Amino acid sequence: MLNINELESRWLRYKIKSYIPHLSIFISFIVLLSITLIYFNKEKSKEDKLESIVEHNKSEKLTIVFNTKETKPKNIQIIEETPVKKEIKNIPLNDVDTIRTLTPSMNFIKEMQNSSQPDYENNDNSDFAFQTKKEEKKSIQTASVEDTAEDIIEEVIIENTIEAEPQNTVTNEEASKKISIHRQNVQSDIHGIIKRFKKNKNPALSLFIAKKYYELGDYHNAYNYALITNGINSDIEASWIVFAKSLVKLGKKEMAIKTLQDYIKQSQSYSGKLLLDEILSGKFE
Amino acid sequence: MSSIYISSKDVFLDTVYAKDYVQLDRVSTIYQSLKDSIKKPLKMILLYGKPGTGKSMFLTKLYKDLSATQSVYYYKTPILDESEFYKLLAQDIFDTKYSGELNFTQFMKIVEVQNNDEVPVVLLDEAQLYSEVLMEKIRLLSDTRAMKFVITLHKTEKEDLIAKEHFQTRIWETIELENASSGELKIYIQKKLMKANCFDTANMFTPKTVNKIFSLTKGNYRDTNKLLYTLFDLYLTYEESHQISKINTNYVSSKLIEMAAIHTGLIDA
Repeated sequence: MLNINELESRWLRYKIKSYIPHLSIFISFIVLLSITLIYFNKEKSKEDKLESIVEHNKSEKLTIVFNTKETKPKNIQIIEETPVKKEIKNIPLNDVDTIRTLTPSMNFIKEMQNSSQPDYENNDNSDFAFQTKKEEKKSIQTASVEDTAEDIIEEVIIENTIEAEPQNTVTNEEASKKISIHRQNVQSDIHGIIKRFKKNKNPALSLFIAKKYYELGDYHNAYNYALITNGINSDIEASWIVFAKSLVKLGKKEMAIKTLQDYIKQSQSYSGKLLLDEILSGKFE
Repeated sequence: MSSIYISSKDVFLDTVYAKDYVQLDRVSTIYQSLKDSIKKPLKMILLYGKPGTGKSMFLTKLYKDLSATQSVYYYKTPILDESEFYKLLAQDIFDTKYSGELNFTQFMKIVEVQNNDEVPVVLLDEAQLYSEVLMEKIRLLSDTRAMKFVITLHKTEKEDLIAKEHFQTRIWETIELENASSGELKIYIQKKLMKANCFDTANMFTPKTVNKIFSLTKGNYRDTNKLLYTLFDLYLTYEESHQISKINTNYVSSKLIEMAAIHTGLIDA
């Protein structure tokens, strides 16, 4: 007869022994796995840190880029906010007549400068017209174009009030209303242009300043800047005309006539002749 | 009323009876091959294999089958003394009693005198225990064609060497016996139990159980017999100590197999 209890206890020991290798393999596997995980986590954390640094740097760059981009949307936003359509919507019918004040942007001056320079260059081209009678008509045309263009710019910049009709009106009643735009700091604009002129001595700028002063009624300054312009480039017809007009306004009519006569002799300027006739006939005083 | 575990236990007693021979497909093929070899004019047939592969059972079965038709002499235990060996052969085969010492020359004279038409078959089990000198004499005896030898050898390096040295040049047949496969082991166990009408216990052996036994015994018949004998002894002990409810009687559990293996030494615990 077998000793069951002893066999069972031996069997139990055997089973425990037999599980030891499995258990040790399992534990070592777990240990290895955990070590691997820890190692990879560390590596990952390092990578994450690096990535975060890179991301941070990127984000910094991005923010810079974004900021630069932001300026555009801001402009757009301004444009979007400024449309008359929206403004009109918000304005109660009783307050439609209220004056809407807009701050001026200097960008138009740049545009104007860019646009005036070709005009001036065209004007230079037109100087050939002073020398040849054949191209007289052309020069007159270019001069008139220049004048009209400048007049348009002046209208935009210098005019204190701009009557603008709402373009995208929703209601006909609102469309019929006008919004007057006031320009308040014209003097500061002139000073800005004077600064720029002092830097680059561009006769187009000095001519512009002269015209602007003339429009503002500051004939003395208009005379001065027209004189400066003529000093830089004596072939600019508009400058001579502003010069002569300013002299007339300053009460130096004879001097203006003499100057114009000399200029017409030299350039055969049609505008100059017209102005001279007006001064002589007393139409322009 | 005797327990089913007693009869089941007795089935696996380590005895070599021809009636206990279990016919398995592969073993049957080998056995048929051996029987055919006996009919051939071969001097010697070598049956070899690892211990417990059924060599003795083969010889027993062969002796039982052949003894009805021809003169067969089966020596289960080796006769280590040379004179005794000759005297025993002279007495059994040629019916010649010899009182004094009988040497090889004298025995050869007895063999030459005999003029039998039928060549007697001598079955020698555990031939690895015979001395080299005696093995050489057996080889010389087989050369006379006066008798045919079927010898069994354990397959070891040393025994292989003996085989090479003594029997390499002889016309002979070698048959190797191997351990059972898992499937064969299941058939072996169940056939053995069913032969003894132990159907209930035969059904307790599931493929998983047999696989467990196979993993412990490697299909060795002797180890399997030993293990199963102890296994049913365990069942019997549980039954007798009224603890049979503690164990599963529907199928043989791995725990009991392992306990039996620990007891038999198949598991070193």
